[in-house]
Amino acid sequence: MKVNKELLKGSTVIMILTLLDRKEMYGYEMIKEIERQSEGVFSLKEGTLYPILHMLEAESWVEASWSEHEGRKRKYYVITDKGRGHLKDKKQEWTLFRGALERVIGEGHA
Amino acid sequence: MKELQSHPLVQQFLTDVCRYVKAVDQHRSIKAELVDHINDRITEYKGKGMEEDEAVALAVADMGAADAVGSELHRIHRPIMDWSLVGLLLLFLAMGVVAMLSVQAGAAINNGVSLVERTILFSAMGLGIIVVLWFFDYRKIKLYSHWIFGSALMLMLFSAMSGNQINGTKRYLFIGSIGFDTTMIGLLLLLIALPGMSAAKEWSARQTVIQLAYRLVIPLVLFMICVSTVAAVLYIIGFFIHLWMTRRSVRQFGLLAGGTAAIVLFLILFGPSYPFNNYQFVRLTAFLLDDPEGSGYMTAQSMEAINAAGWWGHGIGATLDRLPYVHSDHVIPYVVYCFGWAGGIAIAVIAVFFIVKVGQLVHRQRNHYGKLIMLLLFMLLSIQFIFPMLAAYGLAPITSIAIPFISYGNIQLLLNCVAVGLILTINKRRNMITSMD
Repeated sequence: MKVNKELLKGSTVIMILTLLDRKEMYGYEMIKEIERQSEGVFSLKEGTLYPILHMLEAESWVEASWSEHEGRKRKYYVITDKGRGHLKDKKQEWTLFRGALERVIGEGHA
Repeated sequence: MKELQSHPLVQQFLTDVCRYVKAVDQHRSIKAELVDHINDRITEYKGKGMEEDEAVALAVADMGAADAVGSELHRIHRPIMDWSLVGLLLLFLAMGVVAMLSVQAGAAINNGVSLVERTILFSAMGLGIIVVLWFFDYRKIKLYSHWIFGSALMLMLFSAMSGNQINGTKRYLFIGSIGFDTTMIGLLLLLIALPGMSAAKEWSARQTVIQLAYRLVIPLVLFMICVSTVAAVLYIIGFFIHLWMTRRSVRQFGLLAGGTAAIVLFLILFGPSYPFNNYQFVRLTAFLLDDPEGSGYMTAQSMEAINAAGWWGHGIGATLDRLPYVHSDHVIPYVVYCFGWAGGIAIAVIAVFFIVKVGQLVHRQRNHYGKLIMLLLFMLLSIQFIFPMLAAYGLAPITSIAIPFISYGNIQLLLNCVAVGLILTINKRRNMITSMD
């Protein structure tokens, strides 16, 4: 089952920041990791990842650096302290939302 | 791998994406990042046994629609014009013209120079400078910071050696009939150059001595020879800001600030302009001792003019004989005398809006270098706005600082336009993130 685009947009930020909280990564690596961990539920149009990453960089939630890999430039991203703070907020928000949703949906079955 | 990057399908995709992104200097890094991604995909597909053309086509298709990606990227990297700051600037320039109309109409003697024409001419030049700066990448200043700093010192040295003496100061040079204060030009250039030079955290013990000598003592000595207390004080404040923003630790800042204070004190006591017979010092003591007979006379006259204004003032072109220089040093009491307390309050409110707006832009700036320049310009502009307004009502000593844009400034008007233009152009690139190199 594929997930609605709008729902994906908000959650992509949380997913990316969570990945970058673990280690430094580049774009393609993130796409593969998200696909693998979500077992194919989240497969975004790959190009749309980059505007999101650049937005995160402009917000100073992540930092980027370039390095050479097999003769081509590769851009690596890593989370900042500010980004960790934002991630924490977003996760709390999500937990609250999920809890509320589960209570509402779950009522019929209880 | 190399030939894949120039595969026509990939090239087409990159060109299509970048067509939407107006920030041209971001194109190279955007392309490099996307190419890296597409190549990884192609390699993966070929590893699964696909033919090259098929792999390329599929990898490009995986990226999604070029217009969607391009317009999203544009939205993030787009140049930001802060129209509210431009609006406030235009408002001030218009006020300057109205103030000069009033001065000219009320002047008993006309010395031939049309204040209004000059102000309109210099306002137009100032706006021209802002347009030019808008298309200029401020990060290039960094490379030339040492040259800018050195030129500023040379200009002031030249002025100190050959400048015309006006009111006991040597800071004026003339081009035709237009005099300009070399220390204010020097001050602006020094402040623009400071952030591009070495950060305090990089200084070794030996470097500290060299840096303090070159970037603190020499400029201060020149300011003192040219007898420009205002420029010296503003520069010292700017230097403290630079030390704080580039500090290694609070401890290092404390030591450097202590050293700076000691140097300043030493120069005041033993430096080239012995301040106790300097007129600025006389004005300061007059202010502190609250002496209406001595140099406090001007302050008293200024306050009297304001008190006599009433809510709606005496109208445009009113004559105010009790104060000299109503077009420059005392433009605030004069304008209040003409346009009343209502006019004065309006100017103060707009000035506060202006300062708060610039402060917001400084706060939002993330590029450290850009932020440093903006912070120094913010300091320069806000003190120039606040001080004359306080001085007009006796809340601060009267100095040679004339309020930006409203007072008759000529070159000073252009300098303030340079400051605003730099703030706008630095803010323009707020979201244009680091490129490859």
